[in-house]
Amino acid sequence: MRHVQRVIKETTIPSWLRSVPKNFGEARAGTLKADEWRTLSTIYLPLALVSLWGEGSTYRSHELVHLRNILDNTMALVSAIRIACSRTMTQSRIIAYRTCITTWLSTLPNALPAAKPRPNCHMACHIYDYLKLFGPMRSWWCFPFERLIGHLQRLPINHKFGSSLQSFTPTC
Amino acid sequence: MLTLQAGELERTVLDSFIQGSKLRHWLARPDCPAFIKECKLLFDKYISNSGTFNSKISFDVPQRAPKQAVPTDLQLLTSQKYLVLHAHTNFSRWSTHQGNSLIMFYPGGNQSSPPIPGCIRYIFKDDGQIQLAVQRQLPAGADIIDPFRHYPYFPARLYSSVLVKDLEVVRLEWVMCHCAQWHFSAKYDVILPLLQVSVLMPMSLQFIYTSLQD
Repeated sequence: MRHVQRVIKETTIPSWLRSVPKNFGEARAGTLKADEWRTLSTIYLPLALVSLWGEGSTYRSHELVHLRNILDNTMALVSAIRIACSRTMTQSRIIAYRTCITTWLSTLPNALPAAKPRPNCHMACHIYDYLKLFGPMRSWWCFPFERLIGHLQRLPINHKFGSSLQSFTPTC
Repeated sequence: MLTLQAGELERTVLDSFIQGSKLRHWLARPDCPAFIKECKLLFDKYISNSGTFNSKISFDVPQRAPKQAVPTDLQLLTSQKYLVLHAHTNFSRWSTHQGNSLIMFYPGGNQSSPPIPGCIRYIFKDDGQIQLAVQRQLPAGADIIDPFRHYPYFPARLYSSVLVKDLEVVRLEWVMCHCAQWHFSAKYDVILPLLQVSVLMPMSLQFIYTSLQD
């Protein structure tokens, strides 16, 4: 975890990319939002894990095989997320997504025997169908509605509805 | 907290939100007229989320950025003696914002060859065109094992942490995207292209630069 924190702290990124808390993993860092999880899983975590367990790392051979299995399993999921979040979608990317997500699921029991299958694992396979039907995931994911819910929750209400609407309208 | 009687308010908020989303979607399309995109930039710049209007709108736009003497290392790339060295959008000089200065670009605009990472040292205007003076990052030696090469859908690669000493001119249209950089070891950096950049970025830079020149 310290290595992940070090990667988060030391990686140079452009200002438009939202980073994650530098003390990620500690109680005081709080919980991550969905966008922060995406940044963590597609940028920081792969950099940290590949540099730690990838080719050229120095571990004892039996440890290394196990850690390399976990790394390859995680990278299959990372690849699936990166492909699914692409701004443009092609047939080859859709097939690549299916390959990555099925690789992740099929190697999960070997890499992490304690991990139990969840409904989300099944749902992740159906994203393949949705990519074929609806195109890039950015066009139909629910983050805009999550943002709307956030706006609604933050609305100041003092039973004077006209003034609250007036203060909110410029943010839309 | 919302009361149960606030249905009308929520509907108004929802309608505004959907209309705003449609407008943003249209602005992101490549066939959206350029002058509409420029209106968005002005809107974003002078109307903050707090809803307070900036009364200086009519005075800020024609502001002129001062010309500066061309730095010694940039003199090889331009015949001008004085240039406006300025940009404060997503592209920045290394001295201004390190993260915004790291780019992947196609040398000579040749997109048939793979893009290479570089660092923007200066942003200047020469012959009416905004250009970047970039130091490219040297490739990693053949003796180093790149652990990222096993993962084709994760495009991070190792490069030498040494930059080429000489600057080279890079046009805005040769830039593919920003990239993230992490010091893998004392001699090598990991470079990860970040392809999810806004299509408005080169336009925004062009516009703000132009407005500073007026």
